[in-house]
Amino acid sequence: MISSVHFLLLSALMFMIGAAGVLLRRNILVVLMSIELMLNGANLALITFSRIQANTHGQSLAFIVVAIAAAEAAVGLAIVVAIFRGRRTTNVDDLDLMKN
Amino acid sequence: MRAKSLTWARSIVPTLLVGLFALASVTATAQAQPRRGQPMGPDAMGRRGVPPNIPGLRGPRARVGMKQIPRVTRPRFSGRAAPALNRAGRADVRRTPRRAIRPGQPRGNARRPGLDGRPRTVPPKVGLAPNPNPLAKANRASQSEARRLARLRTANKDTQLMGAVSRKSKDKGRLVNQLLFYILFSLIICFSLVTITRKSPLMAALSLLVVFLGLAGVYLFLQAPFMAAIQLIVYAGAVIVLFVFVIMSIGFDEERSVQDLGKEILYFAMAFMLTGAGAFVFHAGSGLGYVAGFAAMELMALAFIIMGKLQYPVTRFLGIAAVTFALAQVVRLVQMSQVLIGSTVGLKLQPNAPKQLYAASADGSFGNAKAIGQSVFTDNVFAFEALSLLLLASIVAAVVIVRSRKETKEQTS
Repeated sequence: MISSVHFLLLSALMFMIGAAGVLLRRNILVVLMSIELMLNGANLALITFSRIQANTHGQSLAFIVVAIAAAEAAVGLAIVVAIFRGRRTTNVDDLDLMKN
Repeated sequence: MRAKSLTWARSIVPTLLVGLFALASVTATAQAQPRRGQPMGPDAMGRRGVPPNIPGLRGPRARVGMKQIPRVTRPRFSGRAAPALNRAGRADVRRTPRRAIRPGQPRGNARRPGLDGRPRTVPPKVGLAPNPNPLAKANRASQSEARRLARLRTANKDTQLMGAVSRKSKDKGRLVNQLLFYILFSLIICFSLVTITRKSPLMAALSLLVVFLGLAGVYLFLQAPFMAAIQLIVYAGAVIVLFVFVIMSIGFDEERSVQDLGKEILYFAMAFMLTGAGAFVFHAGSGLGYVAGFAAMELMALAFIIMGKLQYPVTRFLGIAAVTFALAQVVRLVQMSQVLIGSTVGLKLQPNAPKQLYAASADGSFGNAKAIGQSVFTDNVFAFEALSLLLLASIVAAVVIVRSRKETKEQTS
């Protein structure tokens, strides 16, 4: 059967790709999607460890993480819409509201 | 604008169909899996349905080594008394006379008395009383089981090294399962890369949808059907729709021509197939097949680099070829150091943790809604209540933030 190391490898790769997207991209929507990628990688690791230990608590923690991710996406997209109304941009470099 | 978006949709639809097909096939195999019996579950006694961590029953399961061993050496008998059976499954005749001369018990034929009319007995000796601890019996049984497993392991070592090709046809389903997992693996990785490399955020959102669908299939491999359903409902259903809604309301820019897009999709499909095939070969093969698969993978990555140099702009394709190469390297590294990882990470996490995933429950009730509900509403109920507060706060915050300034000014003034 498939080794658990491969599930963990998949989750690590997803997390790394998500982190690279957060660091490299300038579009704030893509940055939010990369955050979703990272959360999904963490979820996969949680579920894998839950399976290794035969313990359901990992899955319930992953469930909670999913709900938090949904809330984060809702608030983040609301902020994006509010900013886009005022500034007409989705570039992260232009978002320097606090500087002035 | 309309025609442009239509052609764009025409190029993305086949990609989505491939993802959906992979997900559907994975769902089918995951449904069919529990009916084949317990696929992996090297329990110490060879019985089924034994909870994994019984103190005193720590037997050979802790020392399950490479990947094929539990399947090959799994004991076939079940339900009968393990210690009284020899290797052929019959009662061990060598143990019977030893029991008959145990101290304090009638010797020989108890019904026939001795010369003096009383039953023949051996006088009991102090210190040789039978062990009242039932776990000692189980330990003895598991030790003999361990010896038997070790014998079988050494006997089967040659056939294990032959690799996936020479295995019996009953392993075909397992191989298909592995192949599906590695297809999903490379699907997820490639579409994650698509997510963070596309300029159009709509393209990124749709490839993120493919990533979420593939991840739901991976959750089915991990015996987490409830989490797979949650993944589909919340992520693929709600979050992606929210993203697409915002992207559409903000407006997206499409700069790339459709021809380039088709080329890149083709390229990603090829990279996806190569990484999947490479990972599969690396996992399945051992010995000579292992080396051959590795060499083939490296050659393919090299060919990718050369091809990218010949036909396309160097920078972009060198990057993607390097990603393929790096994936091959990572998979190879994991394969080479699997024993090391299993013995360090696994030992630190739990001294008894097997490197292989074992069946958490035979009847498939491990990750279903009932189990998750019991865990969430009993042990993690505080987190659940905090979560409900957080969701309420996020709803209010989203509404307050999105409401425009004009409306707020009109309402306050």
